[in-house]
Amino acid sequence: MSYSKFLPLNPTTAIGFDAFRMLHAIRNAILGSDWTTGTYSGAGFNTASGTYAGTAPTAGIYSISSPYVASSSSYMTITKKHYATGQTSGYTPTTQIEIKIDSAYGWRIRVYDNNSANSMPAANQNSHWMGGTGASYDKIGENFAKDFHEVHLIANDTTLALKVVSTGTESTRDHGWFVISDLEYAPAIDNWAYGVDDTYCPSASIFAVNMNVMDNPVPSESNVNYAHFGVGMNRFIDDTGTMRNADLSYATAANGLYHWQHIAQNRKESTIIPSPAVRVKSFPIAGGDGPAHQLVPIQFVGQNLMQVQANVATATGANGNPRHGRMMNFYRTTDNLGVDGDVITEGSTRYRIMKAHKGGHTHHQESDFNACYAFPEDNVPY
Amino acid sequence: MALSNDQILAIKDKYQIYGDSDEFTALKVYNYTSETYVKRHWGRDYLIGSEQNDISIWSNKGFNQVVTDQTDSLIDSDNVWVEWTGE
Repeated sequence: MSYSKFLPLNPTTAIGFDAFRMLHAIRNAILGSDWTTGTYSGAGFNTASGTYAGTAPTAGIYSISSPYVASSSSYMTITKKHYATGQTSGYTPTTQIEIKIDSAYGWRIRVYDNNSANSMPAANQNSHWMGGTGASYDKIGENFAKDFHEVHLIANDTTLALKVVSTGTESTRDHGWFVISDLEYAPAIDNWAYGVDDTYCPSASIFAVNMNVMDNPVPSESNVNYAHFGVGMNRFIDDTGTMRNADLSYATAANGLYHWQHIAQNRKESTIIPSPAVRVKSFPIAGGDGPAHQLVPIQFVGQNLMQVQANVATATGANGNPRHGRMMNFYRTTDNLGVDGDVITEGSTRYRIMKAHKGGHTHHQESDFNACYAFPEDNVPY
Repeated sequence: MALSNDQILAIKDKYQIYGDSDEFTALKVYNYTSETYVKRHWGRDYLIGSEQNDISIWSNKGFNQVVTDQTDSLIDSDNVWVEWTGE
C-alpha cells in the first residue's frame, strides 16, 4: 500500500490542463512511482509539499489509461484486478473505477464492471460525487483544479481509497470519500459466481459526502441533503442465481438510511460492520501504549435485511446481495482520532487515517463525531 | 416506437437506474441475438465506441440485454443486437 497526500499547486487557476496533470499524478502514485519527484511545469499538484509514503501495490494489480481531456472535464479509468485473481485457474475478476474532474460538477468516482457498463452510483454522468444534480448537495470542488483544498489516496493490492476536500473555511469545506476494497476470497462462492457471469468481481465500494461539517469543531449542519452515504458491490449474484446491480442511488437520508445503520426493515441495500452510524472509542491505557485505539476489521453486509417469513416475498427485500465478507486491509478506529493522513502504529506497522464521515446518530446529517478509518501504509501482498 | 413510461420505469427498476424525473428518459433496450456468447459484443467499445464517456450503459447477460441512454443506435458491426421497442 502506499499513501499520498496531494495539494493543488495553483489554486487560482481553473483550467483543464491542471486536472489532467493531477490525474497523472494520482495515476503514478497508484502504479507505484513517486509522483513527488515528477515534473509538472507549474500545473497540477505541488510536488514539493506532497507526500508519497509506503510500498507500492504489486505490479499488474492496477492498469490505468492515460488521462483523457474533454472540453469540460478530465478523467481516467483504473482497471483493478481482485487480489485473488488467478489463485484458481480461470478466475480473473476485474472491476473499473473512473475518476473524473469536471469544471461544473466537481470530482466524482464511478465504479463499472469489466465491460465499462453498469455504473455505481447508477447516475447521470453530469452529476456530483454521489450522483446528485440539485444545488450543491454533494458537489466536491468545481472549476477543475481551482476549488479544492487537498486529496488523500491509499492504494494497495486489495484497497483503493480517495478523499477529496473542497476549498473554503472550516465550516464550509465539503468532504467526499470513496473506498473500493476486495472481499476476502471465498473460492466456492466466488468461482461459481464468476462462472455465472464474468462481470462479477467481489469488491465492495463505499461512498460518503459530508458538507460543511468535517473540519468544523462545532458541527451545526443538519440539512438532510448535506450528508450522503452508500455501500454496494457493483454486480452481484442474488439468491436465485441472477446477476443484479447494486441498489446504491444518490444516497440522501431517504435511501442512504438503509446503508447507514442496521435497520429493522425488509430492505435490500448493503451496509458495513461496524455500522457507520455507531461510535467507536479508545481505551484509557496509561503509559506509552495509551490510549489504545482499536483496529476493527470492516465487514461488508450485502443485504441490510430484517425479515420474517411473512415478508419473504415482499419486493423491498427481494433480489438483494447475499454476500458477506471481510473488506481487506480496511479498519475502523477511534472517532475524532486525527485528520486525514495521520499515522497510528501497531508494533512496527504504520496505518494512515482517513476521517471519512460523521457518526454517532441514527441520521447521518445529525451526527457529530468524525468516524475514522485506518489503512496499512505498506502494501500487503497475497 | 418509443417505450412507454411504464416500460421505462420497469427497466429502471430492473437495472437499479436512478436519477431525477427528467433524467434517463431516452433509454433504449437491445436484445442479444447471437447464438453464442461473445464477450466483445458486450463491451463499451463495440457498442458505442471508446470516446463516448458520457453515455451510460447497463447490461445483463442473464437478461440477454443492454440498455443505453442518449444513443440513436449502436455501432454493432456484427449485427447481433436488435432494439426492443416495447411490443
